[in-house]
Amino acid sequence: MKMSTILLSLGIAVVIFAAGLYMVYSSTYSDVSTLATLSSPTRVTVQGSPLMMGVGEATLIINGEPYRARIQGYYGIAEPLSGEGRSYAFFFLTGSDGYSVLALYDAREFTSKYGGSPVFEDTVVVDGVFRPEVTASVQGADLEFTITNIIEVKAILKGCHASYDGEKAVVAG
Amino acid sequence: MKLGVEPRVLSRSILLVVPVILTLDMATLIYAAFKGAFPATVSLGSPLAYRNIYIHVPIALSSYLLFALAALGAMLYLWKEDPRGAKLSYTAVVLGVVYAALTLITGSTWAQESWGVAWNWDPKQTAVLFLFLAFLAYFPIRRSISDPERRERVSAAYAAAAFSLVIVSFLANRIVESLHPTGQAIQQFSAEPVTGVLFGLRMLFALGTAISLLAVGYLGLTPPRILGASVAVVGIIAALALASPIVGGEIYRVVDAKLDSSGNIIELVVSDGSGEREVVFDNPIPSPIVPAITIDGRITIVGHLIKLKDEGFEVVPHWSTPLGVALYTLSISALLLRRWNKDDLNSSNANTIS
Repeated sequence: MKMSTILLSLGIAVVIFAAGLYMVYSSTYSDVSTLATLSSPTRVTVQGSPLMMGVGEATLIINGEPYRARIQGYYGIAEPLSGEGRSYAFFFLTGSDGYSVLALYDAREFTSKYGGSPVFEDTVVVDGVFRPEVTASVQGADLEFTITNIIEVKAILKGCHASYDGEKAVVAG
Repeated sequence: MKLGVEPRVLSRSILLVVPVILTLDMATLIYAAFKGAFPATVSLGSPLAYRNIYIHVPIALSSYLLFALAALGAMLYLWKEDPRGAKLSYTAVVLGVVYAALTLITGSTWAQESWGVAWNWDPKQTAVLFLFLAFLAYFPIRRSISDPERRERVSAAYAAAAFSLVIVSFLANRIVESLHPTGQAIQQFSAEPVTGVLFGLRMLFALGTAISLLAVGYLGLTPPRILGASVAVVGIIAALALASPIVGGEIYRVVDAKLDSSGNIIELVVSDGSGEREVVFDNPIPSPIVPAITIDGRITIVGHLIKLKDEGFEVVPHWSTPLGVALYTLSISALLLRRWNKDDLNSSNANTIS
């Protein structure tokens, strides 16, 4: 009877382990590429690789409305040419099969959270609303993209891996 | 399990050692929360939030250790029908569930600042939640069985099986993409003496506290109530002192800064979340963060939360750190004050050490 109880316990352990692994694999973030199949606005959490855009001036057009953009590496800040309306921080996320989306984030919130010189890691996870009905294009500097897919970012979920191996600091005094 | 030690001598020795370990645990915890080194620049949020590494990680590893000991005791009971195994398992599950709850809370409050959101079903977060819920279910399962022998057998079988989720939790951020760092990142963080010594001591004493609580519970010892009360009082005072700069006055985040050639701060761009403003200092201010600038030229005050003063500013911690200090110390205090003999264990002779 002892052995049967131990075997039963091991059996349950295997089942729980398998269920746990399935849960872990199913909770990983979807790749940006998976958005290609969506045809209506959808709340999503996806991961992708940020695209290096260089440094310079560009024009961002969102649904026909032009923005003046300052591109600073992996991201840019776009202000409406009309001088009215929201300013955006924007960056491209590329999926494993090369499919890209343009991520738009409220510029004020972006700078208040990330400071003046944010660090982008190899993989960026964003939570937001995918809007396939919105079109956008970026022209200027080294860039000439026409993008038909937009994510309105609610939050950038930053991994903190890159923070650990850098220099350390203390508060003086 | 012949220990060759008189039970009374062992109990007395443990009761003498526990206050020493707790004192060292509290001392390093409070020192880390107030003075611990942190990454000079971070991807998101306040670099000071990374002081939670000295709180969250030791708690998380303590929960793994306790669940492992619960499974070990359970297997001992199932294999040898030794009631001491059942008691070890039950005691470790009680403590492990408390530590797992603390792991979830301290991790989520830290994530709010450093990941951008407290809960996002990250694989590691989800796995730890699953682990916590699985061991929480141990208690209703246990209480639903009236026959003492069957209850111990089912409880032991369940605790041993649920241990597999510790392995899942450990693997979660290693086998799939996760925001949660792996052990390698922790090793990188603690590779330098300024962080390594304190982090090592935190691990040592926090695990020591977990083992001490397990010994107290397993042997049904009754530490002086003053010990539990002291831990709570010291913890609350420390948490309140740490949190005091946060209370009252407006908190800003440093978005950008300008330094003079000596590394003193001459201008800050700060944000309160609704807008930005520039703060220019007539007299350059030495950076409260040392070093003021990293080797690759990044200004280390950027990202910090500050409170403006008449002529200068003060760096304030993120709220998750005092909360973590308060929750950890109050939990330790409650577990010390717990009277284990009144519990529903029927292996009444299990604490006899021969």
